[in-house]
Amino acid sequence: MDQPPKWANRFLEWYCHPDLLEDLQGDLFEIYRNKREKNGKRSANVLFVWLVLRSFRWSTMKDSKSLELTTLDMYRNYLKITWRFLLRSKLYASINVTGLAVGMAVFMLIFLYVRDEISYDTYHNESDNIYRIVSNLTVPDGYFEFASTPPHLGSRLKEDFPEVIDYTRLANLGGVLKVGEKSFRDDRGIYSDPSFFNLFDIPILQKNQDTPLSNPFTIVLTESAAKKYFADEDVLGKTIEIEGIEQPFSIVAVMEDVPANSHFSFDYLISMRTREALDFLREGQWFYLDYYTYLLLPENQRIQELETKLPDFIEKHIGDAQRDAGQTYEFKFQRLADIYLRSSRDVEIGANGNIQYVYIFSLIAIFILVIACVNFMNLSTARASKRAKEIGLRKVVGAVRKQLISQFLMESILISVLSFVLAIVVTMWVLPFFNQIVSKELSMQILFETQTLVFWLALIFVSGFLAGIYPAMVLSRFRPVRVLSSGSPTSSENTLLRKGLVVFQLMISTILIMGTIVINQQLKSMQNQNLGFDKDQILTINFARNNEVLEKMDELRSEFMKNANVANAAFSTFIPSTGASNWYTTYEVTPGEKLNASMYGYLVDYDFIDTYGLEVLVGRGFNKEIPMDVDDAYVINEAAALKIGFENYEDAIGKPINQIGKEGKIVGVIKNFNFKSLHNEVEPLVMQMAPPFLSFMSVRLNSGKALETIGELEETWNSMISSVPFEVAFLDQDLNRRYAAEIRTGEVFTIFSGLAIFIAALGLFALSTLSAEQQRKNISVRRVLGASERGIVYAFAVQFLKLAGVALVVSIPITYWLAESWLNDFSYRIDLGASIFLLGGFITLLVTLLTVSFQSFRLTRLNPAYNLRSE
Amino acid sequence: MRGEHIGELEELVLLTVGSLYKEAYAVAILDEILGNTNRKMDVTAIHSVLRRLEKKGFVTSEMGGATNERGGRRKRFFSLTQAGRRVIEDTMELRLALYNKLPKLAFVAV
Repeated sequence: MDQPPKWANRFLEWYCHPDLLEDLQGDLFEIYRNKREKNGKRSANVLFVWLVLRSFRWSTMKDSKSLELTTLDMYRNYLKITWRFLLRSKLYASINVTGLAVGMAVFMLIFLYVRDEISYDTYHNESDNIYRIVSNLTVPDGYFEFASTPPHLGSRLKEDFPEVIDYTRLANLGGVLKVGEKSFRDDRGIYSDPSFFNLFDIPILQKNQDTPLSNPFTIVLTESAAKKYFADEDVLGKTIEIEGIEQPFSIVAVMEDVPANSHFSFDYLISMRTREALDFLREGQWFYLDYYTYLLLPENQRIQELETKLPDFIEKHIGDAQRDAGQTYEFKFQRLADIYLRSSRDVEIGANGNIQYVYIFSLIAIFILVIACVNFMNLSTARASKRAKEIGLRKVVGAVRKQLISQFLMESILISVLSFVLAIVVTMWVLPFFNQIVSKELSMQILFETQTLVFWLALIFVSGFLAGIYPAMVLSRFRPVRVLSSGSPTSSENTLLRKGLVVFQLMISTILIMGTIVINQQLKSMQNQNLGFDKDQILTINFARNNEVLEKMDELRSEFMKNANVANAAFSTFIPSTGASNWYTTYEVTPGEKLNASMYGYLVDYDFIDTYGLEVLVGRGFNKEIPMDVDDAYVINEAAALKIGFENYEDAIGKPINQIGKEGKIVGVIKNFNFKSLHNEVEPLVMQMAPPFLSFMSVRLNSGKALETIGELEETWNSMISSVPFEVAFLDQDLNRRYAAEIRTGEVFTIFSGLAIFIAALGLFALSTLSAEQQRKNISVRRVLGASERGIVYAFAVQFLKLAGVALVVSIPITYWLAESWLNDFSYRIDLGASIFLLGGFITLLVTLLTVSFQSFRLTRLNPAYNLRSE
Repeated sequence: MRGEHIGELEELVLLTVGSLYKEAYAVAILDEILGNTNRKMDVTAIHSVLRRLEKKGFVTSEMGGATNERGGRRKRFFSLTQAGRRVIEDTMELRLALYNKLPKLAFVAV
């Protein structure tokens, strides 16, 4: 039958004034039929529902007089009773509202955080159709997952596959910008193809060319960079110099700043053509992985389809090169929106997030909300007796169960609404602090978008419903005769459930507490981990291979060494906080038999090993007395020695080795030091001297007076160097930054588990207060019969401690399992000792004890006569 | 003057009610307006305008006979009242008077 949706029709009949109903309904039916003939059932249904809703207005409604008077009065009465009940029991009401409000506030904060994390790179129009292509490289004895690709992969893919609509490449560049006489250290620059703007939607604000970045030596500034370097001048056509490149760059466009939720960030873009013009594009070199390649594919392109064609593609273009080098490629596609949260490859373009932490935080949010809801459930059922008479009377007067359930649900939803309002206030208040901790710029605005508002409405109702449905069922089940005659309902099953819920709350809190301890211990051990080098008191200066500095290296060092507070100074390509590059390395174990592998390389000077306090195990470090060292000496770490195959490090000495094309021999083996993140094992490292390629200066200070020394060094530096500003960083701080994600998680976890236990304790406190009230007579009788104070406190507290004990026992294996799976991500990890669980358990028990003992002490102070005199 | 002032949509509906004569019910008015002015509205807007006009006394309504296409429900037919007719005429006159005062130059200038 061609009937419109029944429910909508019924709704119409329900609200519409009978005088208007017939013709209005008729009109809608007529329109429905016309639409249905024209556009089919679905759109007709939609239209009908829409019209019914649109017609729902004051003028069409039944007069409120025609609403049944009693129903309306009933609701008014429910509200009144709820209000009175809340006022009468201020303690419980405030505990309910506070707990729920804090829970909701936490939920909102985490919601904002998670929403921001998952919004990365989704602001581009073509976001769903952009893929990054990444390389898995298998070398004779190793396997690497790089985020980068060879230089011309994108163009070859576009030639071979008609599916590829467009591609763009990015490559990192670090350099000192020079504007007029001023120089700025800004290494947030990226090389890019002009197609950047076809793929990514970051608007160009002004430009003087149709396609910016299509010529060499052109640069695009972001808005804030333009402001920073040129104040408010008109920048188009002006030039900027970049240290190390002779020709100046012409500014061809200004673009909007890169949104914070992007997996890459930069201050300026330089045309990829520049690299071509400077002749280091390395076109045709398949083992030079320096480019991030993004493809634009058609909508609904099946990515597996493309991936199956890749092996042939690889064979066609790289087959021979692969066989020569003994290395094999595999290319993978990553969805643009997946990069930030799901990619952790070598040489990522920026610091990525971690989907695991998104899950962990979401889980915490839900846990805390559940704990708060449980409080409500517990308190309402526990206080059931207070309302027994009311319910009995209502039933006698004729209330049916459905009405009572709706009454109690209404109550809990009302509390939920109150809490929500409070939660918004709390969130507003703490958001700035939260932003600081997670180093984001979250704004409340998102909370009030239409989409999220619907979500909050759902949150209010779900938490109100969750918290209220059980008490409503229990309370409405009371038998009027019994509660009216005896005054209290029997409720042994309720207490069991209540106990279960308390155990559940305490269990979650305990898990969070233990989790906090695990995370913080792991963090501390990571920060105190022996890295194999001395990380304290080292200053680093990044001069980005600046010629002036390179020319004056020796002079600079000797001037610095004159400062009494400088212990040592050295130059190198990398420092432990920057990671290292992977380079093609050949070596011989038995003479004449050349082998190769990809190994990390450090280019250093004579003083590097001493400055960092690296321990030479066998042989020697680089030696100033031996001038040939610059040309042929290599120092390798233990891992490299083992990888090459020198079980006995002595065997390595004097063996030939060649990295990036410099023939030489191994002169020493040093102890492993951690030059990458602690997530990884120490990997093979090869060090050689290469004065022209150094870009960091490291200065070791004697302890104390660091600031003063920095001031003195700055003067020295400025008197000698004019093209690079003196900007120093403390190595240990930079190293800690590598664990930013973990440190952040640790802090957030600590705060939220604190809140969880706080809410649980609130509930426990209220419950114990209640329990104390109910046991008043019981305890008074004991007192009269001569029970000691201590005995009473003990008897009372032990009821709750038992529950905490059960929670503890349950939470240990769960925590163990969760913590193990988190820790397995680290190669340097703490062991889960008993102390963690002991400490966590102790905290839970202590909080429980403190919470309930307040009440138990009060009990002992009661005058028995006062409690027993009335019956 | 109060009550005699009508808005643009009200005027349009009022005119349509008049022009449809005995056949003016909401859906027909909707179609007529769509046909004449190509203006897409939903029927609820027509309903509320009609109710408003009825309250102001410019139209009256009565229920018609049952028809099949509406599941047996009757239509409510609207017709102009004297007051309704006068308000249309007043409006027209006012417009015409103002229109005639438009300087011819205005057309030249544009």
